[in-house]
Amino acid sequence: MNLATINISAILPALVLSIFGIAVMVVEPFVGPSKKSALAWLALAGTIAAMFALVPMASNRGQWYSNL
Amino acid sequence: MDVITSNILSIVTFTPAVGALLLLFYNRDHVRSIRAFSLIITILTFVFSLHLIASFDSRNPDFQFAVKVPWIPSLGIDYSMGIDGISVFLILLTTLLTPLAVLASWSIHDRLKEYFIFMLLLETGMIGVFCSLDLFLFYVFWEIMLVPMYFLIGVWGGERRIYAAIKFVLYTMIGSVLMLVAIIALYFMHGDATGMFTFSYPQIQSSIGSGRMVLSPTIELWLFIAFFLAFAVKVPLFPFHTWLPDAHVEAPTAGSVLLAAVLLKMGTYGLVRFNLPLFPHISHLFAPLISMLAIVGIIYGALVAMVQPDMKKLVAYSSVSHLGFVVLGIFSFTTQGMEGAIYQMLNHGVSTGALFLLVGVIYDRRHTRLIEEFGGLANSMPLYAAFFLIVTLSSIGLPGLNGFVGEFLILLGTFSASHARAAVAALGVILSAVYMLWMYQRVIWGEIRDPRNGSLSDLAGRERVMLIPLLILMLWMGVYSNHFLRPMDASVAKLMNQSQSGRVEYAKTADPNSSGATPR
Repeated sequence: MNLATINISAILPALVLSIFGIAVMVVEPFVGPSKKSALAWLALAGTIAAMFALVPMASNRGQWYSNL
Repeated sequence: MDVITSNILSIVTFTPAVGALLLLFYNRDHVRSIRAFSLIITILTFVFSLHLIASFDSRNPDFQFAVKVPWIPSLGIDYSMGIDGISVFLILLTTLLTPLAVLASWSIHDRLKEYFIFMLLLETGMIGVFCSLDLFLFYVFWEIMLVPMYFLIGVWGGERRIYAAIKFVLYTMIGSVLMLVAIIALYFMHGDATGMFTFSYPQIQSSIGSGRMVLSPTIELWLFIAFFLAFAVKVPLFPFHTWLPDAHVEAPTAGSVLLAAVLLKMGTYGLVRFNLPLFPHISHLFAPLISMLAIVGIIYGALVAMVQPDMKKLVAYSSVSHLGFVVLGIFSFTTQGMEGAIYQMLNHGVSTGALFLLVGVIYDRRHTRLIEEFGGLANSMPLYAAFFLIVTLSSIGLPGLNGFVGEFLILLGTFSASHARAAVAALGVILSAVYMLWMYQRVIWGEIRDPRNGSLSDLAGRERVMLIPLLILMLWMGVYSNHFLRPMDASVAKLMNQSQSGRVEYAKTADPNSSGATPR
């Protein structure tokens, strides 16, 4: 199995959320207390991006995880 | 094998859950009986877990006390449990520390019944993680454990408890989601490669090790990253550590003890159990980078600990430093480094557990943890000062106490892998002496500056009972380390072999002419 055979769109929303979550985690130690609110914007951007990641799923319903 | 031995893992895992269920029927006004019952259940669990080590065959590297019952057969999910030399002591650590955490919860008065129900459920989750041999079951226990800890911090914590509890859950779940994706991917890949759709960890590991299931380098990389992130957050490895100080500072004493002593070990245990044997090639490839993060964590954790005004926060940052040593040992890919890492997991559980208990003792009396509020406690609390000294020296890694053996083995293993890494990491040992002794000096020695410290009572009987077992363990593990290292030997050797053979299989696939001995 390789990447080409994996239906990435099935897991895209979760992936996007996790990637932005990890970005928040990694950035946090390097941000001073006064600029911590910037992390909230990053989190919001991740949530919106995950919302957009749902779009491919809507056009291909019921095909996820080998019809599990 | 008798009935008890064949079911001992289920008994040890679910005794606290049954206790939690029975607690539901208690009258919430019967405070003493709720405490006594919770204590009895946790002691009973500890006694059951002693059967594990008593019947453990240290020459057998395979999983012992194994139980496998189909759970959801249509999806290849089994209730599969078993332990080896790596997990047996982590289970014992859990079952030993939970009754001590119950004893440390005497100051809890609000919603006592619910508090102990969550603590017992937490114990079931923690033991389950160390026993699970089915990836799905492992994930279930991994997630279940978050719920009671969320409530313990969020309901019985300090002022910023909600923030700390949510941060703890969110951070852990971000990593866990990726791990779940990786687990599902492994399930389908194993099914495609062998025709057997299963979540069985030994089966998947064996297929990878024997070359029946070959992962492409890109897939192996992504799967490794997904598992690694989940565990790196839990350890926590720099820079994924920011949830830890918040969670520790806000959690009640017992929560801090279990968080530091057991929950963090799940991250390092996961690296040892899953990352190394399942993705051996990428583990070797990433070893220098991960070792670098571990070293940054060792130094950074120690430096930040040094400037903390709050004792709990100091101990929390010291955990970042100590766990950096564990990760360094794991990714040294030497037997000494690996055994040292597993030993250091136990050491950290014992020493840091004791440190949080000691901080809890003075917090119960003064309702502050600020170092500047104390000073001269040796005058009013001499026994406390003596206990604190032993625990401090254990945490520093004084020869004769447990911390030394683990750190020594890790540095020995790391040295044979890379002289430079070992040299830089050794600075962490010196820095830990600085922040721990400086804290001890400011809290315990000198004149009593605040009259309220002069009238503090020394350790009560209950507090002595919860600390003495840990002090005995510190000495025992420091002097007779073979009692703990020998049962690990066979399992660690098997792990090193799996890690190496998987690498060889990978190299054969990538290059049929290669012997697999990729230079480091």
